[in-house]
Amino acid sequence: MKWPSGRVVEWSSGRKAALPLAVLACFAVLFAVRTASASLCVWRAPDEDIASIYDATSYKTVFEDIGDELRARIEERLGYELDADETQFKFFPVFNGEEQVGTVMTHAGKGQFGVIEVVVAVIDTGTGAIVKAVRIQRDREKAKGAIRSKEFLGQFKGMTSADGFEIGADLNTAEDGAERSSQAIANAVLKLLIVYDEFHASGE
Amino acid sequence: MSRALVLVLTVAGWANAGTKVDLNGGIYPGFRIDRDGSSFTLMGAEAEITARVSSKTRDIVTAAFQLWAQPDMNDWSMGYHFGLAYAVVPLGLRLPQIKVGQAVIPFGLLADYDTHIQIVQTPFAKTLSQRIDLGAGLQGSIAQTAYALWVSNGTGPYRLDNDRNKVVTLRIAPKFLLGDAEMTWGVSGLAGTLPYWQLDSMMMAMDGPHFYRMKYRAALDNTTDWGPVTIRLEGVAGKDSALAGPMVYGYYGEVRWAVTDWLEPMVKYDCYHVADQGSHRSLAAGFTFTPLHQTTVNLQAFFQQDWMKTMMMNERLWNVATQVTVRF
Repeated sequence: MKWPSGRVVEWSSGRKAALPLAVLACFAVLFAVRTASASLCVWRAPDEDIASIYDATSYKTVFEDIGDELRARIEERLGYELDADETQFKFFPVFNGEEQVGTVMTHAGKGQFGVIEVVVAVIDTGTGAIVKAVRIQRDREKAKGAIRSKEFLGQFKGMTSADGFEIGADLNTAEDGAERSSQAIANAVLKLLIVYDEFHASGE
Repeated sequence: MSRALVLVLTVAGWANAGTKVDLNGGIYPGFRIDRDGSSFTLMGAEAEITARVSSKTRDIVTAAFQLWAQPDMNDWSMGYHFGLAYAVVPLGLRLPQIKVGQAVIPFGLLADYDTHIQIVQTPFAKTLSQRIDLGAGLQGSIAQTAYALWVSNGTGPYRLDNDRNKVVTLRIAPKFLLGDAEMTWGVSGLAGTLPYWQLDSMMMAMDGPHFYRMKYRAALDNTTDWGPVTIRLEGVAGKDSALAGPMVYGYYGEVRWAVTDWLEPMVKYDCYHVADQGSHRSLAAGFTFTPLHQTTVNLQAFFQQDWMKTMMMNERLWNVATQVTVRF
């Protein structure tokens, strides 16, 4: 192709090679390495979250796939099925020097008006995970200020997967009328605690 | 060496290194009606591959690239939506990340808003005439303020530079909670040689640029999540060719309202104006339908009206489009 304003060198003879290229590369990925379909909740502000939760110097990213057996155990403890796209969970071990001081997990819960992205920071006591802090990184709920308040999110500190997570019975709602949003966050925290415990109990 | 061989060797290299690779993707079939007829469409079908190399205590580098099947658009406009291929090197907590490769130019709403899976588009094609570009830069955040610096060719993905000029883009975007509204305000500046069309010839932009011009742009953008209502605003102003050249400006407004977790009506309006040439305006209204308990499938539909008023034309166009988005 000629460009009147100057020289342009294209790297390939054309993008018609894109389809076979895509197929070839996808097959290469699928058969050469361990792959997974990642669930869609990213960790948006790791620096800021870590600085406010841990005394830490670094973190790393670990994505773990869920096998059928592990999935069944998690679903049994939850009392409901995992979402169809939850084929993988994300763990972010946090370190101070060489020492691991905690783990952060993220989850896209389903709120009243769309996805609530929940960040759960835990410490491991050796017998399971304990919540150190919970953050909301994105949501579209009406009670946005209330569900992000220290009063509401602070309730989760110190909780384990053995605790009750029912809004109204075990935990206070963020504000009147926000029960569904509050329960979605509580469910996300409980799910991540169970997932953490089951992954670590299974040695994965 | 062909790109296919490079990719296969790259993937094989990752496998040998034991690097974890994640595969995501999507397919976006649709249907479109306008004054000239109607057609089923395929906006795209893509795979997004992410590979990460980590040490015992930290991520060392993350590489991501986008592979796509031939959509129903020609080479040039495809570069607006496909061609991501970059590596990100984190320097440490509270330090910037280095980004190199083909990435989205961090200007205005483009920095945070993934337009390529949306049925309505921000006016970047008019204001910048580029979205994905080859370059290098820094990105990060200080407290609640995100920043990005990007230096790139200006010629789009998979094209070497056609001059010595580089496009320099800087964006700073603080985010804060105001009552029940989470607001992000972005301030962006851009200078460099980019594809250029006269307003009269913008209808032919899909065939590729015939000219490149120096462009200076400044933008103020805002994204507000106010409960279930999301508002996106962008104002762009600048000059073409030289700072003494004619003034250009554009603006964009979009409102989405999540009535429930499965239905989201939306409306958008944008305008792009070039002094001495005229203006393009566009108004669209539509909705997004998300099936219950799904986050990976949705249906988008809209009606759009366009007004093009220049010295050579005074046209009013319309189209109706639907698109199914399946992400995996």
